[in-house]
Amino acid sequence: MASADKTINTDVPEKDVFAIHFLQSLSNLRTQNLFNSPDTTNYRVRKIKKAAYVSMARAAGGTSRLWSRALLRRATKGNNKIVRFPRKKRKVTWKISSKRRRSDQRAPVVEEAAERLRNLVPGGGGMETSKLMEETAHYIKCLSMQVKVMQCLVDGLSPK
Amino acid sequence: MDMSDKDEFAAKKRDLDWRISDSNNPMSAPSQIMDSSFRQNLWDDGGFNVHTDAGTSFRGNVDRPLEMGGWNMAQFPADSGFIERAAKFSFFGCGSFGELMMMNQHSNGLFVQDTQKNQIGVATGSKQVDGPVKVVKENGSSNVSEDSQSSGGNNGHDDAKCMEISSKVFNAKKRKRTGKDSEQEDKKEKDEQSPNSNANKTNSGKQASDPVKDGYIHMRARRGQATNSHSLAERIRREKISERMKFLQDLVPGCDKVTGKAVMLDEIINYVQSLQCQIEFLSMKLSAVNPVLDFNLESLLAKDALQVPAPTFPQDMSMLYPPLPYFSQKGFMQPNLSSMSTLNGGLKRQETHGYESDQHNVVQMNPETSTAPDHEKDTTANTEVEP
Repeated sequence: MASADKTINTDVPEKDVFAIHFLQSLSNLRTQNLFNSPDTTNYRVRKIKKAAYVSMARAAGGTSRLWSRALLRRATKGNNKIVRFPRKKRKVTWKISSKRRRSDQRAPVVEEAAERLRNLVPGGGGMETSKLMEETAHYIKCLSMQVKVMQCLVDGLSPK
Repeated sequence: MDMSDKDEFAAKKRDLDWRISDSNNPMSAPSQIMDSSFRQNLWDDGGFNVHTDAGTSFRGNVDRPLEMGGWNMAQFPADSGFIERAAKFSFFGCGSFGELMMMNQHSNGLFVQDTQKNQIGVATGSKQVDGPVKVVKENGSSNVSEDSQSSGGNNGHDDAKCMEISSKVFNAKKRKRTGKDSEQEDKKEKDEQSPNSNANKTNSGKQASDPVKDGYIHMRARRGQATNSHSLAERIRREKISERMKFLQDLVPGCDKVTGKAVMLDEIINYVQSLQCQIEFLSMKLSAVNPVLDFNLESLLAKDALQVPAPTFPQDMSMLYPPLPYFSQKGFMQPNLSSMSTLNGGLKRQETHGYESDQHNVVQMNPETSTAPDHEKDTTANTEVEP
């Protein structure tokens, strides 16, 4: 899986994968009989949005990426029958705090922006800046892919 | 006389109870103190792993001669034999010491650092030192000297020479030590070049600070190692971050002209936000569209498949990205309605360019799905795009 950059691997699956995942989630939503019944379109919108994010996370690699893992964990807070999270040793917490303390001293310009990025990218809170940028790159790729898929869908489904 | 003295010393060096003071030192107390430290230094002969213990003790020792600098000068008798010995192994004499350390640099790093210190407050070695010093060189043994401040006959002008020499030695020493650092760092899989450049940097840094810090050489040495690894780590981290920033720059459209980390990061943040807004907007659109049509998975996939294999659209790709990311939601609506077809065509076009393997997959998918709806949709899509 070598991408253009040797050290950073931000390969993203094909558009088909994203499309399939999204369509599956949409059909699941449909079978839940949500449409035409819920009170507000807002509810539907939120459901669709959540389905979009979850399917994107699944298509992008499931639990192999930090951001996707965080997204899925956030999405299935109460009932986790959907995703299986691999067990990882939780020594990370101590390292995170120590890294954070040092990263405050390092180039405050970069760190401020990194802070804002952390709020945007799911799972960014526990990452060092360099790792954060990797995840951001992959996240951007996946997001753009998902946007394309959804755009195609909308275009395809919209009445002519 | 010189040779015999040296033989004595060489023999006694291995004996841990060796005390120079025993031989012929009129000054008992301070020399004994120093000798004990010298003894430890002898243990370190040939390896400089025992920095800390000998270092600290030595530092304590070295402090005293500096304090007692003037007093030592006064007290040391101009004994010829004493002077010679002191000159040879002149630990506290500057001029000879530098040369001495050059010869003995392989043996004990501690000596080097102490020269740096010693030359500060101590009278320099005299020219008469040169003779015996050369003899010592042949021996190649790092011997200890008593307080050889008696050798400080000619103070003034060996100072400069001493500084140069000892700084050279210090350089060599530094290079070796940073070489050791580089071993440690290579274990951590760091740059190979950076230790060298870092060594040069720290060399100059250390030289600059040498005359300033009295009595803390060994602390400084250890701190020097720490700052080496830290600054190395910092530099490597910086490089990582800038490498990733470059990668992100390729990803985010419109970031070629932007230089500087802050602005680029702002751009990236804006782009991520805009993408997320787009998803939200599209999901709203989908929820509006949804109740109209049934979800037929295969047909939907066919629709997606249709998007790709239409390579003859002369749409401008660049128009896709500039409008999309930076439209607000409302703004997106109107141009979207009007330029829906062009966007569609643009999307298709871009898809063909970006994902050629997609094309293959999709083409394979095409024959699988039913043909009739495809044809219909084909025509509609075509009529849509070609104005």
